[in-house]
Amino acid sequence: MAEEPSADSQAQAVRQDDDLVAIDRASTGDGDAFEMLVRKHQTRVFSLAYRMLGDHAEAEEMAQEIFLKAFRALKRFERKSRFSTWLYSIATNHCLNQLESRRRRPRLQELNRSARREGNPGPLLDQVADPTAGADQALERADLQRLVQEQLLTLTPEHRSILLLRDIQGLTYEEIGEILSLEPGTVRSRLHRARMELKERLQPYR
Amino acid sequence: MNCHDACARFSDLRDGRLSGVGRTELEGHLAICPACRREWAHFQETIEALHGLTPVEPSPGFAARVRAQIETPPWHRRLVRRLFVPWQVKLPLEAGALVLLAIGTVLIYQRSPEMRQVVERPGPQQPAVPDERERLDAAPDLTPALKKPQKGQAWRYLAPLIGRVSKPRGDEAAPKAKGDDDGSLGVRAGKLPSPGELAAPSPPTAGAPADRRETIPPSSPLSQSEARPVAPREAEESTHALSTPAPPPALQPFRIMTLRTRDVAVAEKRVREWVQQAGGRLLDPSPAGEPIPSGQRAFSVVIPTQAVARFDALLAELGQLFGRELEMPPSREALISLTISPKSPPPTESE
Repeated sequence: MAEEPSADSQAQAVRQDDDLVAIDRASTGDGDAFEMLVRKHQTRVFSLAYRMLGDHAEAEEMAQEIFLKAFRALKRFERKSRFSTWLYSIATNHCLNQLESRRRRPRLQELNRSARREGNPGPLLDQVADPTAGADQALERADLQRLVQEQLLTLTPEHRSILLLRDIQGLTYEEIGEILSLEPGTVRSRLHRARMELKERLQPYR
Repeated sequence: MNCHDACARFSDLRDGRLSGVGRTELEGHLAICPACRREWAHFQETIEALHGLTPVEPSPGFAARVRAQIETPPWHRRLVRRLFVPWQVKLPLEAGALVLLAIGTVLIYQRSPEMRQVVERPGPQQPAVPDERERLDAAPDLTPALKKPQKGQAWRYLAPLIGRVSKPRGDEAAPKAKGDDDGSLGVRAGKLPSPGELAAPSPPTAGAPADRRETIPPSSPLSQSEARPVAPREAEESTHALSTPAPPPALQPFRIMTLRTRDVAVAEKRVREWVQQAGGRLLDPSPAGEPIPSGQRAFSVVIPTQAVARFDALLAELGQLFGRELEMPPSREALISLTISPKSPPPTESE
């Protein structure tokens, strides 16, 4: 059984310290410091946006907006939580807003997005192309990843976001509660429902 | 523990949030229940699949693009910078330009009566016939009752009143003899007596056409022909024949108006009283204000120009007012030719 991820490990503390120094410099308008923060967190923020939205171009646009928003709000960062938690909070809310506005948009844009996905499979295959693994294994892994991503996108945005924060980003229940403004009990029950729902969706492919 | 309870605790077990008795119970149930064991295995696989999702990298140069964006100030800041920086130079220049613009606007407004008229006009104006519009543009402010004649009605009454009739649009064409039958017409611009003449009316001379309203009964066929609008030349001849001294050029007909009211006598009385109070005078075409055919009263009013607006207001109170402004008088006094006619025409003698 997996244990609750530790939030206070030595490495994290060091990283947190690094973040704080960079944040101090970036909040005074230091572009180099903020670029360093972006480089450090870009993969996790972009992954979160991509898993939430399912579209590479849209996710990149969202990720840029998330960092821009973070930069403008940097002076309001109270340092009560980790910088990454604060950043995920911005990212999750931005993606949820984007999904909400997409729901209201005409269907044409959805079709365009699907066409883009079909024409360009995205970075998934590149990511799983492990040179040490055999080609068959890589393909199988890629198929599984695509299947999981597809099924993930069929969940409600609330369930999707809580699964991403917990099972992909590895945040604690408390951090998730802080990001989604939920009580720990609600986080627990919603996470369980989301996992069970994804399990049911993947059931036919077993 | 039943299967439902066991499934409900899968997440707690997976995340290490189950300990002691709860954990022992669940593990015991999983040991004896193959269905729950299978479910637990699928649950684990699902979470492992999620963990197996590899991180996705953004396209190369992402951080540099973000940096470029943060270094580009937002549009409102760029606009402010473009408008006001350097403020020591731009602010005084912009303030000066604003002051000049304001002065220019005020000057243009003060020097163009057309613009003032447009600004002061309360509502949209009815389209006028082109040559009439020119005269209206040069005219002073009018009361709303005069400015907005009801469609069709104004032309019906006004066209015969104006000496030079310009043909109005379509069905609003000015009626001829028929227009007089409703008893609303009586004074025409061409037949307006000059002030001097009206003050001391001269008896009709032989061979000269006298004022027919005094001599011809209403039932006479001649009274019908009178309704025809008089051509300018004919009117001019008629005026020349009537007047002994030349009319003073300073006082020109200013307005020709028809007031339709229920009680002609009361209206006339109030007009007379008001004119006296306003320091004006009344010039009757018939000396004693004797009723002209079809129960009308017709007279000219000379009042101070500044009292015209109040006079209009009084007339608007008394009944339905139709009128036409002709020219701005050059003098301090305005001449208004007024006909008061009953609202419903009285029965004719033949009836």
